[in-house]
Amino acid sequence: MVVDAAGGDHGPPTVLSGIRAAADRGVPVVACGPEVLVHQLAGLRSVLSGDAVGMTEDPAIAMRRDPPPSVRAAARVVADNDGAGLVSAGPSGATVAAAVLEMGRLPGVHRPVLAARLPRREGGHVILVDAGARLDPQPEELRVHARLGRAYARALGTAEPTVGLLNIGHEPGKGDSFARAAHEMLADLTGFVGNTEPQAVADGLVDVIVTDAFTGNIMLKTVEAFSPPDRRGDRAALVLGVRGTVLVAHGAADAGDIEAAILMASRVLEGGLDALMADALADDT
Amino acid sequence: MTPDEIHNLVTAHLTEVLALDEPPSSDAELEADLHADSLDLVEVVEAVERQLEAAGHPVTLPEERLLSLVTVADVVAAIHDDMQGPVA
Repeated sequence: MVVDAAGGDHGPPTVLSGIRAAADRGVPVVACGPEVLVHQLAGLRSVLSGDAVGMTEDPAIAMRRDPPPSVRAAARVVADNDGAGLVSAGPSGATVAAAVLEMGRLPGVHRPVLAARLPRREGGHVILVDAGARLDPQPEELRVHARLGRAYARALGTAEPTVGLLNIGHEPGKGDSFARAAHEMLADLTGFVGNTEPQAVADGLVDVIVTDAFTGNIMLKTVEAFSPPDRRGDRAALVLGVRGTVLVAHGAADAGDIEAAILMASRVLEGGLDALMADALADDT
Repeated sequence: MTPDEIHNLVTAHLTEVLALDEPPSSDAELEADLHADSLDLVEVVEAVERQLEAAGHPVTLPEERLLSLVTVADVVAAIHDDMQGPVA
């Protein structure tokens, strides 16, 4: 597992603690970061890079730095090594940019999205797409996002996942102009059940809930803010639509969250989710 | 390499990355007309840079120049300028 050692709101010491904890549990870890950081990870493999991408930087333009920022260096290691995956707690836009530029996109995907698992009231999860990657998508992009969400759900074991469009009412015609246009684009998608309110999401009436990144990220953070710590969900989201396994840890992740994200990414890799995703995406319409 | 050849390279990559039906015109604005964001721009510029380097014309657009690009013609001009080297 290749980890961006420099990214995260709480600073490198938190990330380094999480990396060390995951390594102690037997996950093979490669840390990417400036020398001053990776120097502290004696005994672990490391790759030198530039510093993390800042929260106020344009994440794509930051990819042009020389030396490359830590997350791009990490994505390059993943691209060069079969069976490797990427974990970063840096800005999600930077992680997506690094993954697109170094690892590439899946066929038919213009822009990758973040998929987060939200806890259902009665147990299990609902997959939220997009949890924070693609701001200002075109309505037609939501069809691809929905297919990615369905592919993820199928890869996780749901045979025929249902998909809802997050909205303020379930009747057709509800919502703003974007939601109405998106509904039109999703109307004939396999598994689409129509507009879906947050209550129905929590009740588990759909397997996948689709929305734009702005709304999705607010929904994710609202669920986290109002949930007890043991019901907050994964504190990490999978990047869907790139060639490979990429996990974005919560920006405010503590060492335990970083460790959990590395372990989760390791399970995703071992489960061959990437190949299952590609297969499911190829089958779906 | 002529500006027309660079234009063809840039528009070919824009068409692919943005999944456009046809190559964009020179005066098309990246954000307003093509809905391209900075990642689209970097993806296109890096693809063009790789192709030019393979053809023996190494080009690297600096970050500040990338931030100033508004139209397709701006991208072509920036790459052409970089190929000419620093102004004495």
